[in-house]
Amino acid sequence: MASHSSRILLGQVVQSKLRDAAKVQITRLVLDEYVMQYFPNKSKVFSFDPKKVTKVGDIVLVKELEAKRTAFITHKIEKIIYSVGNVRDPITGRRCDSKSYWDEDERKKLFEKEPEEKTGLDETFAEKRSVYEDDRMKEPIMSLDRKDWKI
Amino acid sequence: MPMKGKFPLRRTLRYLERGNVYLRDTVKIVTINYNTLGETHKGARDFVFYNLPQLQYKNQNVQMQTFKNLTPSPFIRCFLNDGDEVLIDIDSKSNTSILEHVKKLLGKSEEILSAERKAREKKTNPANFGREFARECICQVPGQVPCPSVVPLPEELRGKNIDYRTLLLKPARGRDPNIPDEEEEED
Repeated sequence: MASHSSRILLGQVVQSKLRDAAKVQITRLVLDEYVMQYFPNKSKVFSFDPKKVTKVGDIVLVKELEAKRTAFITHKIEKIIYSVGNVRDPITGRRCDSKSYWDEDERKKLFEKEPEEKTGLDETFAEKRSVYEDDRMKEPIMSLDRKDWKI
Repeated sequence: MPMKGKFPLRRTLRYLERGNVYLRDTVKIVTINYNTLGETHKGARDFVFYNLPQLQYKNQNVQMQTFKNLTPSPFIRCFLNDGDEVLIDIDSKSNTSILEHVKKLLGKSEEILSAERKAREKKTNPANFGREFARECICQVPGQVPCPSVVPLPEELRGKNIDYRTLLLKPARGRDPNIPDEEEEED
């Protein structure tokens, strides 16, 4: 039915110290057999995000990679759905909060600089080259000098 | 133990099994956005309270998630296999009409469901042997003739040892012995 590489998941970006990946928390509903109720169950996934487009708190669509990049990085960021503090209603396309849609002109007067909107659909996410042709793969993943390690 | 809580009937197995919306295989994620306050969101809230457990029970492999208080209008957003999205506006709708709408848009039709049911029966029927069934060959059943690749057949059952000349001259096994043979003229 569904091919292995088309597995997609929805999650929220969570803090992590990784250099080129985002830690995404995925909640799925699991039935408790005794109480007979569905409860959210959290699981974590490391997804490839080299340009650091996602912020902590974004709701993100994550897709399984055909080949794992490292032992932990098994997915990649496919699309940012709701950016934190900057939600765009998919029906109207306007920015909004839970009460109302935002008036863009008023906001420009109030706020000089608004956060950059990144949907994740730009070229940074496109895997133009195959994994083996990536320049990053030629250099070692971790430098061998102790002073370069950022822990 | 008494049934506690608001509408505890939805925490019974019978209620969960009553769900009749089977989502198509391409649907992978279902998200519902609604607010905790507001009359226009009431249908969405009821849908999540009454119908979401039934929907999840019948579609175990679909990720279902709710988002509260993000946008002023409620909607259901489904993500399909190939990157497609389905947006359903559920503003000021009752939970039953929302469920019907989802069933019409993303649910499997009766024909597909009955075909799947037949395919499942075919698989569970123990009389069927083959690669897609439970047993590939009758040699796997204890008590039957074992697989000739593992245990060689006795000489007389092997095709190369059958004496076809004498076999053809013998009467067929189904012949009635009481009926006399037709006498053939021998040359």
